[in-house]
Amino acid sequence: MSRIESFDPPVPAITVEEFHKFREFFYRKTGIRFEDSKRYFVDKRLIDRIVQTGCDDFRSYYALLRFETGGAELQQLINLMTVNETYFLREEYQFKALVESILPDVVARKRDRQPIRIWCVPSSSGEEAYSIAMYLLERWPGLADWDVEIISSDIDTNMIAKARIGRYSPRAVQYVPRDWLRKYFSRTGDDYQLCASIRQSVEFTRCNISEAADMRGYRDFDLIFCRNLLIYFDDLSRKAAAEALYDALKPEGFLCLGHSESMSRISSLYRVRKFPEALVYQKPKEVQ
Amino acid sequence: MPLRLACERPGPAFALPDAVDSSLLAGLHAADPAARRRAARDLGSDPAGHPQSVAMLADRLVAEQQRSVRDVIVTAMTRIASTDAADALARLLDHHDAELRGLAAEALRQMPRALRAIMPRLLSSASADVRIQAISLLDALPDGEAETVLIAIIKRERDVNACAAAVDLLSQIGTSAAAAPLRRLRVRFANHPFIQFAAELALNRIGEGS
Repeated sequence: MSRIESFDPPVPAITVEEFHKFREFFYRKTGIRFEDSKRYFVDKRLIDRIVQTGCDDFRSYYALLRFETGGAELQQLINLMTVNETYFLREEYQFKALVESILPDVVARKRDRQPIRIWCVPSSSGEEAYSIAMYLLERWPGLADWDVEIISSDIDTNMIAKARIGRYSPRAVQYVPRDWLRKYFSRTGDDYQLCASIRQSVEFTRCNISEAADMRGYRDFDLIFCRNLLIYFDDLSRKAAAEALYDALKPEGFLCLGHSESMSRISSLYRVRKFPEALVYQKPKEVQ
Repeated sequence: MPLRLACERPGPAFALPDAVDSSLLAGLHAADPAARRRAARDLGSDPAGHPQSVAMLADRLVAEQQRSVRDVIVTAMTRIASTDAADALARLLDHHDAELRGLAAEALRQMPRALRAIMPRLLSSASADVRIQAISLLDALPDGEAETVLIAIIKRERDVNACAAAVDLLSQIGTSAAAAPLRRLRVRFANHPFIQFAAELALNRIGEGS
């Protein structure tokens, strides 16, 4: 009896030790720790990249990840491993707080004519930063007197590219008021294309907030939106991120976290500001 | 292209660690707290590149008065998580400044591997205060280890407060293995009502009460 020989290369497998080794490495690089329950999710993506890069096994792929100049493969893997689920006007109460309480507080203290700087991190595919831009245009009269810079960053370069394109599914825009939809979007097949003027009002950049070198350039923000990111970090990475965000803020600048996140469990650096619409965190004035 | 000797190059081919360390050291002592935090963060994120990082951070931590800078220094040392870092933090466990003691204990709790390595030294410290702090950190060790150590402590520890700290933790994590040692402890400290009360409570919690 003749044997049918398969010429397909064997599918690499990830051992428990390799999973742990990778998990520690990825944590060190991104602050994101995968629990044992995420093993299938992680293994599947690792195996996919091992095959795609032509590596023989985990060992050679791991060496590529660690020593590749420029870190392109690490970036690819980060893009695959991160979660990017959001939509326009998510947690809208914070945008209300932005125009009704936070920005009035910021401009009341302002002693210069420099633009108000807002940072959204993570940007995901841009829905949050663009929501802010539209909200300011529609609901903040102060925009007639003040310039605003909106910068939005993500560790995932695919998401940044998607954000710059500004094309969204009906699900992503389901909470956008009809008149805003008509004003700022056009239909492209089943999707919605955001207009150029809103897209140009946001600058998208790549940034890993767990990386001290990446964070060095992010300074002097009046307000940071960092929502639903810290929930993916462990305690230590959360604390390190809160401290890094602290230095990205101007004195008395504000930080908005997601509704399920609380700074009181992360760091004591910030003071709580209770506005009628939302609870936010404020960097105190600092004595030298 | 011909090779150029190092001495012919217009500048150094690579940054000397000493030079980097000295600039970060200057940052750690800058007047601006933001600069001090940045330097601490840089040292914590690349310990391999800065062999003196733990010593530099530890020295600054003791001198530092700003809470925000202290926090970042402690986070940097926690991220380094080496035995040296744990050792430096452990030296603060009996510091006169309560905030530093608290920060050090909190940080050690988050670096269980390094904590485990220095735990024998802490538990045999001449200072009862340090031993008590160390006992309160035992539950940060990997599962199952703490109870064995706690049982050993209540068998030989002479300081009543250290024993009380051990009994307190045993009441939370102890199993029936701790029952006999707890009963012997009650005998050893028969004249200390608090030990009688705490040991009884622990025995009840682990289902071995009288």
